Amino acid sequence: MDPRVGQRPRPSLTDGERHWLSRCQAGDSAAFQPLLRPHLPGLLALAKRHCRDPHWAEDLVQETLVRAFRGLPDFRGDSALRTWLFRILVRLAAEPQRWRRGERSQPLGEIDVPDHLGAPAEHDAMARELQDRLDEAMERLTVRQRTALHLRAVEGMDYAGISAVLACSPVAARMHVLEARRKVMERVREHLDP
Amino acid sequence: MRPTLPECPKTNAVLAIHLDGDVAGSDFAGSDISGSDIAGGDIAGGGWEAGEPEGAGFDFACSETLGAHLRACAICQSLLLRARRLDAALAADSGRALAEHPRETGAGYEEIAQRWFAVAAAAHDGAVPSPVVSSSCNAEPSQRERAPSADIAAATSPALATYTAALCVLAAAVAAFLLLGHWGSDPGSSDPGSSDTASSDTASSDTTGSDTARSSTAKSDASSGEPSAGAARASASGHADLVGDEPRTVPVPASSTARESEVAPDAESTATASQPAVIAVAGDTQALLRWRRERRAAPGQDSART
Repeated sequence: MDPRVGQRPRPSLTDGERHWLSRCQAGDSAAFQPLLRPHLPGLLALAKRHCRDPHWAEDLVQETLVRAFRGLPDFRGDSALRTWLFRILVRLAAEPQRWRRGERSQPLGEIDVPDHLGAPAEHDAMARELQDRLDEAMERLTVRQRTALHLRAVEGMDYAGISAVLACSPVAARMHVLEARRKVMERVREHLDP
Repeated sequence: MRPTLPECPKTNAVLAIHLDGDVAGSDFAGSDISGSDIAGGDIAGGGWEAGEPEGAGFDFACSETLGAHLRACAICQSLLLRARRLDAALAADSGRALAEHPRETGAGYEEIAQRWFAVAAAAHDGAVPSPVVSSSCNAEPSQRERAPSADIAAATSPALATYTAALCVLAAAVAAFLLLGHWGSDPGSSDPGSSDTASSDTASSDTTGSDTARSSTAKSDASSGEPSAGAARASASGHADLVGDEPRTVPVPASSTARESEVAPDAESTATASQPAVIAVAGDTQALLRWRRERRAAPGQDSART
């Protein structure tokens, strides 16, 4: 039997996070910034997955921070701070049509992704094309699939964390990731082949 | 129609074990821990802890068997390679998007972060932050309407609505009080103070020297047995000289009774500036309204009076 099986380490907070969190919960609003600043790039990256418009992505992150600031006194540290923040953002992003006005209204089926780009160098063009196709493929996913795949592939989050963000079971989170991978790979397979 | 990827029934297990490093199968495949013990836990409440198998459905897959399968199955090899490249491409794509973000929005990352924290702190302190955001200024008006501060404004709007409703009720009560006092249909119960408003207004206007000031005519209804309000007010206030001694007024004896009084303007009145007119509180609201209409219809008289 693996010796780690019996261990149940608390995964949630680092020492630094615990320090800043305690100060924040004691009323020191200045501790809010160092507590959450390390998570801003991840929040912005996930927000940009949900909002094509960068301004809306910023607003989504900002609203997430507002909610986080408001909810920090009640944060117990049972889950990782990053998971908690991502969950706030995902729940905000799931509000109907709130953060998506910047997205294109054209049906995805009618969008013609260019097969080639002219001006840049070849490798830049290929990278740009892959980026466009990835964006398009991610757009076609459901919100949960897109979030799950992003958290898994970009943030490296484990399935328990993804399940906590999505409020589902780890099995469901893994199925979301597998299905999202399959769909995206089908659309960009030519860019992924050796 | 895009061709679908070749499928292998063990691809998901291969990806779960060989792509996802924290999968139970990679470290715990040989252990006797079943994922079902964990799957029923309080996941949403943070019940899962690091190092635990996740109960993802692949815990019973044998890593040796899957390894042998992977070495022999070209489909699983291809899909595993693609999946790894896909994850790498997604990470690179996200990193590139983050790097391009300052150029897209025209604001540096540090500036954006400072703004976020400022707004969050302001919202937490109860202040309503200014509508966001400098970077959103180029957005469409409909987009700029939706600022994150909208929630804060929404949170304060109930109090605002309550104050507004209270003010409306108060204003309505004051207006009703004034109107009822002014148009009181029951002369006997009308407020003398409020009724005097018209009377004093008339008196003061008459002192300006206009000879077209309205006069009051009170008709007594002997059958009603109620005194005229104007006469009663005049006599009660010691201004009996205002009643019945002026040519433009119809004297209403204090002893007379009148159930219904009619107030009519008298444009041909010969009242002098020193002769204040007496207006009797109308028992007939319609007559009073008619008189007011006629008064409004003759603005020259009012202006001359004032």
